[in-house]
Amino acid sequence: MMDCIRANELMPWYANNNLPSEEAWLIADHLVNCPACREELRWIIRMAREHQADLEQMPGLTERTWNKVVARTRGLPVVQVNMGHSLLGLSLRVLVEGRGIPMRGDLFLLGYRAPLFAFEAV
Amino acid sequence: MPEDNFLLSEIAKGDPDAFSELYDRFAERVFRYALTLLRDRQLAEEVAQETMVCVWQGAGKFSGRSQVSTWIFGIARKQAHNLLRQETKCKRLFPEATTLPDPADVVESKYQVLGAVEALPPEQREIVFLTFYAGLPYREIANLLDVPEGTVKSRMYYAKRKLAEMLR
Repeated sequence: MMDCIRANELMPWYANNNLPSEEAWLIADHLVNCPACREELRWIIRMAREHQADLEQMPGLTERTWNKVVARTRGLPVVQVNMGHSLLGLSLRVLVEGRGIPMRGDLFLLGYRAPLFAFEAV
Repeated sequence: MPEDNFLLSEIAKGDPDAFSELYDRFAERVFRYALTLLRDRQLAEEVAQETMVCVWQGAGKFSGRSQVSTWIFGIARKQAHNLLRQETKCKRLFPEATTLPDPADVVESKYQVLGAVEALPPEQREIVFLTFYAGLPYREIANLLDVPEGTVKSRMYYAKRKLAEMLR
């Protein structure tokens, strides 16, 4: 049997379904006969929801952060030349990355990309 | 919907779509975690950016011993502490250059619960965030913070007691 002290200790993780099942069962058993702990659980759930809602309402990340991450992970295209048809074409991309200036040439055929060349100027 | 572990293994192979998906799942949460730790929007954005770049570069190093979220929050925590160290150093050298804002300025009064959480000591605030917002089990939090599970539970216990005093 679980007592109120132990139940209270684990209650926040019981409230958000993040307790191993054996501990969750022990708390559930305890709650059946303990109105005080049931009230505590109600309060924790309400507080957790409000905390989450408050955080969600605060202004979040901007597109700028994503652009910076993309620039650092995949490179920024500084030159892109596309030649030919939308189904069959040649695309040349020159990117700037933290490591150097990689250049890639791809042949596009029916929507599939076939890399032609890739090298990096440091 | 693909699992976080699967996305990470695809990122390790260089898949940009998997990275974009993982970014959508985690960047905002990492930002809010950093905001909880640093209370500075600009620094929190920087932490989110650095963390996601680290995820891209280090996806192959993920061992799978913890949840992906614990791993990512762990990176964010390290980045936040590094930034805070740099900021403190700068502050010492150039006192007027950067000052962390008053929590009251960061959190508007309409956010009642968040305002109360902001008033908690940093180590309790962090546990509340990781439990209620990030949704991590106490074992994962202990792993992330590198403290015993009992410490996580006792910090939460005291946080709850203080929140009850402020909100009930």
